[in-house]
Amino acid sequence: MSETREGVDITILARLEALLFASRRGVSLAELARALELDAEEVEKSLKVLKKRYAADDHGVELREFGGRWRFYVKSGYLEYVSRIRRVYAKKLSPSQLEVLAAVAIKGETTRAEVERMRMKESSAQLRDLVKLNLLNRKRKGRSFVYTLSAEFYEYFQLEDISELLSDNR
Amino acid sequence: MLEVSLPNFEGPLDLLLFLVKKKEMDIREIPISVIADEFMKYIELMEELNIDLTSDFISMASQLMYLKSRALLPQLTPQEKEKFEKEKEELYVSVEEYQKLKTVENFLLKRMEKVGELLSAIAETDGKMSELRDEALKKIHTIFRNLLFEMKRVDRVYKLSSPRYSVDEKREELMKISVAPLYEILRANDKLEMITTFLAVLELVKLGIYTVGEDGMFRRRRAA
Repeated sequence: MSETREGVDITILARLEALLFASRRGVSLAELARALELDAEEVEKSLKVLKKRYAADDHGVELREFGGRWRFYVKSGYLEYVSRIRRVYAKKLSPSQLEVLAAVAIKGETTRAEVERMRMKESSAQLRDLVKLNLLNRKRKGRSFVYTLSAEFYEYFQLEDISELLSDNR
Repeated sequence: MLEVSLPNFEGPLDLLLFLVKKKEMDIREIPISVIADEFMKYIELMEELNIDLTSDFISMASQLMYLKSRALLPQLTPQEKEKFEKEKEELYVSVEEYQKLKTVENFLLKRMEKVGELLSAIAETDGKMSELRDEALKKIHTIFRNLLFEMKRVDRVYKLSSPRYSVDEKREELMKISVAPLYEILRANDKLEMITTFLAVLELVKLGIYTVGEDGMFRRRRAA
């Protein structure tokens, strides 16, 4: 069995790389562990090795984690080249959409009524668009719908977790 | 003529927060009657400037006036006093909560400005958004409603016999415009003319030759 300098099995690294490459929207640590039949601790160790390797200058992509999901991203220095073959820039959100996202971020799981109470503004259009953009999840709870931040939300704003957003004095 | 510049308050909490910030004080340190009076002053100003006020503003105004009347009453029973304090507290909490919301929103805004640097899944859903944004649709709705309201008032004063217009004629006329406020374009002496113009506007937007922005401006789209 060959190992890297860090003591990680290279076949595990290869399998991990294959999974990450194939996942369109990123994979969580738990999903990787299940697929590789390994414990999370070992997977995390391997992820870190892989991340370090891709950080080197001879790679155009890097491995990053947002909201608990790992994915390969094009390094920002190479986006200009990528933009020649496909659209790169993400849609900009309106102030009222950002305000609604902020309300959901503060409250966690929230209903439309709660968002409207906080903003004192009609919010159904914003909520609908944000669900369409995959930035909010919507699910039924009892008689009403509840909204939560999606994995894409964390990715879009490049946040590792919610505490980064809600800690004081931002 | 007096020129007034007024920030655009999207909702009553935006206005309240603005008033509190102007005082450079904590909202709890400002007498409720002062808050209520200043809020009313702005509401009146906004009405004079023909700014569309949503029902949220009106309900906040009445809540503030109610709290002011309570604060001015010389004697309240202990129960009434307790109720008053509770209601005041609710107001403070909602303003403070909103302030926090604004902080988080600002953080998100700053982040968003850097967002283009990341290749993300969201870019792929981009094209699916409708041509007119919801904000723009809401704006069109408001403009249309205001015009109808104005027309009703004019109607009471005098009646005009109106010539006929066709959508095609109106469309030709509109094509001469590069950018103009929708409000001005739609303003007409009679309902039929207004509706005809409106149909021509919709046609031009559908054809992709013009668009209507969130600012209520009707403008020619640049050739792709």
